Amino acid sequence: MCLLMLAIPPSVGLAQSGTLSELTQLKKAEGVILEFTEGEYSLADGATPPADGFEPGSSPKVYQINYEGWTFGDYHSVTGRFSIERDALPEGPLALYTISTRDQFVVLVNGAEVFRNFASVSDKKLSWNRPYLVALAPRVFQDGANTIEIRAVSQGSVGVGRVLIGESSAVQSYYSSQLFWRITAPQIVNYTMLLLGMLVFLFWLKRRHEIELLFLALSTFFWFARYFHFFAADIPFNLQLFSDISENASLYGSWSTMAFYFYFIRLRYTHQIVLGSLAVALVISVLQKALGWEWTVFYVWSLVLSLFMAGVGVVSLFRHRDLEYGALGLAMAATPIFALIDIYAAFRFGGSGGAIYISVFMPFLYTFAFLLSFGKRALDAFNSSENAKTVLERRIAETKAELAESEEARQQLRVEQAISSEHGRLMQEMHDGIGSNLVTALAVARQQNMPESTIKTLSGALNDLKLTVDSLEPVEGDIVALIGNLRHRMAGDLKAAGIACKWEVESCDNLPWLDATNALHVLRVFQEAISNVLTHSGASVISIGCKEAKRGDIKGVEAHIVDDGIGYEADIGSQGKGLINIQARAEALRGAMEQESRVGYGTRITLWLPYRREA
Amino acid sequence: MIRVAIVEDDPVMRGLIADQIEQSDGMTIVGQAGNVADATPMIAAGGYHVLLCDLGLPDGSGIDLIQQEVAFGRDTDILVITVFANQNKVLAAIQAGARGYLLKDERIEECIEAIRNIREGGSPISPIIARQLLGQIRQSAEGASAPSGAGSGLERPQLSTREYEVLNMISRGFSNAECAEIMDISPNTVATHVKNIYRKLEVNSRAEALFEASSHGLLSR
Repeated sequence: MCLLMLAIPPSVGLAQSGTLSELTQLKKAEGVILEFTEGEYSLADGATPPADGFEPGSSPKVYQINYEGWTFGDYHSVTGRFSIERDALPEGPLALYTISTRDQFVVLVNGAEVFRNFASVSDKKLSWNRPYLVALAPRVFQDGANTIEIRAVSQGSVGVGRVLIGESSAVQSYYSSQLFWRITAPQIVNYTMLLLGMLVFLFWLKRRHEIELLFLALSTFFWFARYFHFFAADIPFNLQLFSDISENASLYGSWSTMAFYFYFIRLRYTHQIVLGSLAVALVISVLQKALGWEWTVFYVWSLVLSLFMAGVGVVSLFRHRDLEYGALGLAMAATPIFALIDIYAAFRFGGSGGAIYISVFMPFLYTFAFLLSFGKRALDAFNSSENAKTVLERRIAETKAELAESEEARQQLRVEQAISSEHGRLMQEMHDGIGSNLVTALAVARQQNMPESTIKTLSGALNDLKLTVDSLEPVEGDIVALIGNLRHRMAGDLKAAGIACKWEVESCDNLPWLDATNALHVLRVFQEAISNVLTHSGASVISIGCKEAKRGDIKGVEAHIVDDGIGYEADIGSQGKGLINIQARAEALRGAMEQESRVGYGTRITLWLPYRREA
Repeated sequence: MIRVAIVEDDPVMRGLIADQIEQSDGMTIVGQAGNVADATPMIAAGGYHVLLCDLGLPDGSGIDLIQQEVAFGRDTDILVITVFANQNKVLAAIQAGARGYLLKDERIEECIEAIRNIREGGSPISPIIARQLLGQIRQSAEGASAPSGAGSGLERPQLSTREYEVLNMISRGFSNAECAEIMDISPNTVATHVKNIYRKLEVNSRAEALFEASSHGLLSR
């Protein structure tokens, strides 16, 4: 029915139109395009465009639902009429272009339909931001005056937007660029954003603790809902609901974007800010619906949030000079600027297709920032998972090495414990067995006045055993303590022989190689030397001591045993055997023994031992 | 009169020592035991000034007897009877509360001298044992500087500077008399220092366990 009415042109229109419409010329590289700046318009209720009652008016002419006090769903129609001389048009193929002619419309030239954008008048086209190209057949225009009529029907704002006519190629080119910037590019950007939002949402499902992911996903959903009507061709469901969703989405888009941003940069009081602004948004939604407020209230609140985010973004830009914070901060700061530009454009052109809206590209900024920030994280994660293998291998190697080391230490400990326990057992044996028996035998021998030789043998055996026991004591190479102990043992003998002892030790470093075998050599050297003094020298004083001394370049310890006894002729060697023994032991120790003796002046024996011995 | 009790499993040795003590002036034997079972009631009864104690007894360790004696808290001096005075035996005895040692083969007059000395304050200490004691004190000091761990519950021997000096010199082979001369103090003072060192090194059983560990080289690693 409606279709029928639109399709039948009122033939009287042409006759009534006497005056030509005013034009302005747009110079394009491809050729001439003319734009109507004036036309005749007639508005009517219902879905039938009026055929009379035309009033001259400036072009474009859009009746905004808000300003007219209409309600969504009620049909209104407008017919716009433009007159033009054939001579005013360029030669060659022509094309007509219109934008913001909303929403279902038919174009007629000289009463003949040349284009329609709908199948049924009850279609819900979204033409407010969509450019249309109408290629005109060569003989559509006649010589002299021609009439172009546009009949539009809408359930919301209705009107005839900009109408341009010109050389086909120029119009085609203009149309292409408008279509790209108004429809194609926003579609690409917003669908991409939606896809990423879904991915992020799936991510969040697996990583619930990262709440910013949820808000990032939510913000893409809200912004997609907000911007869908910029680039969609049709309203997919109930007009009122669609409109409410589109407008409210800006409130929650701003809110969720802010939540994502603040959680991402870990701003203080984010919880409170997010909950508080959600409450404000909900209140605004309810009040707007209940009291029938203008939608402008949404934009005002969104702008407030945008300015807040922009402030935080700028501050964080200065605080964190790295890429992700920087990009996000810039995106946040750009949002209100975009919004302000669009608000200015809407005021200037009255929503009739004068400017390309740039807010619709805001999601692109978000997506870009998201790619930088979240993408960087993902990249880091991939890198670290790639590195994980290397790290794991290294850790395993380290652990293995530690294990081997501790096993070695354990093994060594076990050996040391075994040695220690065996050592203890032998000591016990020597003490309670051989030692005790020798002591008892010696005591009995003394008590029964056995021959001196017996006592001496037993006593010698016991002393020898003591020396062995001392050599087994753990002195950690402390040669001073070792010979000190010998002195302590022999103190009684020296005292009994009436020989005074001068103890002349200086502090020396430990000899790392001084194990039990070597300690026994050292003790025997000293015992031999002191025994010589006791038995042969007739000395009254013995000096025993040690000090640090170099031999050539090699550092070491020099010990001495000096007596003031009778001495001997060095070459006679009356004490030869003992001294030869000392000499042999000194060599075994890889040290050096020297002796000086003069008859009547006593004897001096020195034993030099190196700190370090070559292996 | 110094009253002496003796615990020694070798009857010949015990007899010899007892005879010599009985013969010397100002000393008398008031108790004799050849094993832990006999020694325990003797120690419980008390009544002596000096306890001579062998460590390797047929039915137990002399260390336990020393601990029993110390537990009574009497003014008794304990001397360990030993063949070699090897450090792990003597140190354990000192930890338990002994104040010195007698060598079994020592001339008997020296034994008598040692018993007199210990009543007057001093007692002999060999350089190797002194060295070991020093090492233990250093180990305790290191344990104390560590924030936590095995050292925290231990009553650490805190030697005075003088005592430390004495112990250090003894470990380097100087006699008590030489220490006195070098430090410009009387030999009696040196002897007192030595006795105090012994007392301070007497530790509770927990520390003894730690010592056992350290003397086996388990802790110093």
